[in-house]
Amino acid sequence: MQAHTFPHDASRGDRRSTPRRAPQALSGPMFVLPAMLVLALVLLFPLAYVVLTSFQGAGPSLGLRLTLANYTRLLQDEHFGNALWNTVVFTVISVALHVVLGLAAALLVHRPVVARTFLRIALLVPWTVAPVVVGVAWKWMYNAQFGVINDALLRIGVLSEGHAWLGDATLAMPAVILANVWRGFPFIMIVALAGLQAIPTEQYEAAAVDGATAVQQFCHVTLPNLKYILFVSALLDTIWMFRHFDLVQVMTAGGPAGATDVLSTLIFRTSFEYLEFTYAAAMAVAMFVALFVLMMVYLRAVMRSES
Amino acid sequence: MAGHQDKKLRRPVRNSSGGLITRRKFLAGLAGATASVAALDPLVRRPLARAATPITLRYVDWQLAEEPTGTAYRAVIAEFEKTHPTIKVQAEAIPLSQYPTRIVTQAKAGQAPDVIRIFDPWLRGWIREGFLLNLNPLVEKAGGKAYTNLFYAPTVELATVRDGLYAIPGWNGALMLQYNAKMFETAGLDPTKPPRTWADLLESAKKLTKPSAGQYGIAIQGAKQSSAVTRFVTWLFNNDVDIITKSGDVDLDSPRAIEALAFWTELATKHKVTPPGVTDIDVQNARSLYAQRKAAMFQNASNAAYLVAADNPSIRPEIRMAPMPTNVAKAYTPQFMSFLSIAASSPQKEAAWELVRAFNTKESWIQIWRTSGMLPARKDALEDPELQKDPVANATAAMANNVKFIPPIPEWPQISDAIGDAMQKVLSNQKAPEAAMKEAAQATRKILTKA
Repeated sequence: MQAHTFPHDASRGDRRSTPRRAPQALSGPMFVLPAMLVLALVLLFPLAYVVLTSFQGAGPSLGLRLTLANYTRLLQDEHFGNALWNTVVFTVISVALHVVLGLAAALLVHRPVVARTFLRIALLVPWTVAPVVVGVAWKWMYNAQFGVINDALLRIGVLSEGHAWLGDATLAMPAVILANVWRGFPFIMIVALAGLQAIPTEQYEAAAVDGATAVQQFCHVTLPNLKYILFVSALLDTIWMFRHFDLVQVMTAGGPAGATDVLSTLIFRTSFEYLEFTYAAAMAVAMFVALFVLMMVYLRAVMRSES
Repeated sequence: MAGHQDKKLRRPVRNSSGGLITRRKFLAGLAGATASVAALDPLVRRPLARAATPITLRYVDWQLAEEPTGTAYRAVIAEFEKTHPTIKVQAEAIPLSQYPTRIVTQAKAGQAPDVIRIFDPWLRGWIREGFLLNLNPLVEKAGGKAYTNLFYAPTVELATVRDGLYAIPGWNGALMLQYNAKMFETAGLDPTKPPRTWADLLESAKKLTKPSAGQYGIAIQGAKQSSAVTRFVTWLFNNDVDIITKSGDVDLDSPRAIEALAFWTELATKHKVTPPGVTDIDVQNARSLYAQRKAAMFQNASNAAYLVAADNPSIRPEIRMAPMPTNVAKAYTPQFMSFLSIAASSPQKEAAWELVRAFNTKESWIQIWRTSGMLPARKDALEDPELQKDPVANATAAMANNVKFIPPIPEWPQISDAIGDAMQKVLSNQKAPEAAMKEAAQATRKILTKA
């Protein structure tokens, strides 16, 4: 296919046109240059500063003597190991439940059910609430003395006395994850709903003609069509969950005895309570590396789909 | 040679339009310009001076957001602004939960507020990081020793590092056993004879516990919170445990420390005289339980009696206070206090110092106490006859000789977390007291070695 050219363009291609084209070619990058500079300033500078800080020794004054001491310490730090493991547990379970519940909710509100618009809005509400507010609300709901969950369980006779869900080393993580799942599943629901609406009805009709059951239609029509969109949104969710902070900090601050301590709460404590800024920076860099790998997977997936 | 010099002196200089002017003309012009500027100076400088005169001081305090303390502090500020018309105070209330984070962030950026209220556990770390100003030159101007002697000596020592004084003691509170006289009477206990020993406490708590009525003997605090650890430290002190001894040894795995943790946790796990879910009970939660008569006793700073009464005014006549029960001869309490300091980065140190001083006059403190019940670390104010009539002030003053400080070291927040983990592990049956305290001691030794 030939490119269309205007008649007067035919004269172009001589030497005189080159200097006129050059400024035009530069005008695009020049327009975005200020924005790129601002981005570099607000994103790259702090990042470079944190990396540099992580290679410096402890103490109030930051000299230029670089050391690997913080990274060596990181490898031996059992608190860091515990927080890393908790972060992985928190992320994997949260994302898995977000996807399962989000997809289930999307399938529900995709069908012509009663009060569908109301249901869609109602299911979206948790996503619109700030994580800190969700954390405070669930913390009170779990409270051993005043919480509504204990009250309900006491009334129906499941418990004989209030239980400290967030104070129980075994149950604290599941309790925090439950609150996080409640808040996070609507994101997957919305994405999956958009994906469901884009599936041509002909595919379902053809499957029905072939005698496919509802389950078979879900497995062989719905899931393959949603596969990519679910993968990308789950990957994004993984990145968000891996660096999740506010909900955990408000609900347990990492307790009891480190049972819910995730990387972000540990970095926060190391930096602002222990005032070990260089060590906290090393932790943040380690976390960034893990997130960077996830980000690369995400970008690769997006680019592959575009190509 | 002389001729050469003359030539050099007479060498022409080019003017702005490219023409040539002689050096003499140039110097004459320069002199004229200088004279003109000098003549204009009063005209130029006066408006500048007028614009720069009103100094704005930034003052931060978490208690500005708490009533009635906020009202009391704002009254001091209003009075200060009246007596210092050129200084305006921009009072910023930051909630306690966000306080250290926000101040540390601002201090790291070199933009800390001029005057900062500080809780004692943060003090040494902030001094180490260079956030706070060495007040020695300002204190010297205010009278030196004569000024610092106005405060209880241990409180001044707490803010002193290598002979430099970095903060002025503010309010002062002792951790006490607060109990409900009416609930004691109903349980057949004499409210005039509060428990003195751990054995007494357990016996009283058992009598006061009625789970069917949702009533428990004592609310202990086991949440992951530094102030919960400070409260547990009282139990260590009252079993003769120093945390870090004078010789620098860690005392947390001594038999006495293990005994203290075992007794404290068994109140919940074995005797069940505490409200359920101790690992969930923080300082505010414990206060609510006491204010709602769900717990007959709890442990808090003496001035918290005013907060309890604010939560539930009907409980006011039932509130009583006593020293924390002990397992040794003497009942100790960890000192609980705040300081006022000036940021090292403050560009207006003199004005900031004026505000610090205004907060710490005897008159200011009596006024603050009248409004909020906060008790001063300033001797002549705490010992004022008017304050001595107050039972809370009395109880605090009575504990003045039984005060012990938590280790005044920058690493305390980490050590506090290690102790907090031990408390929570035993409460949630993950570890026995001995194993938990050994772990805490080991962690503390590691922290101190690193330091």
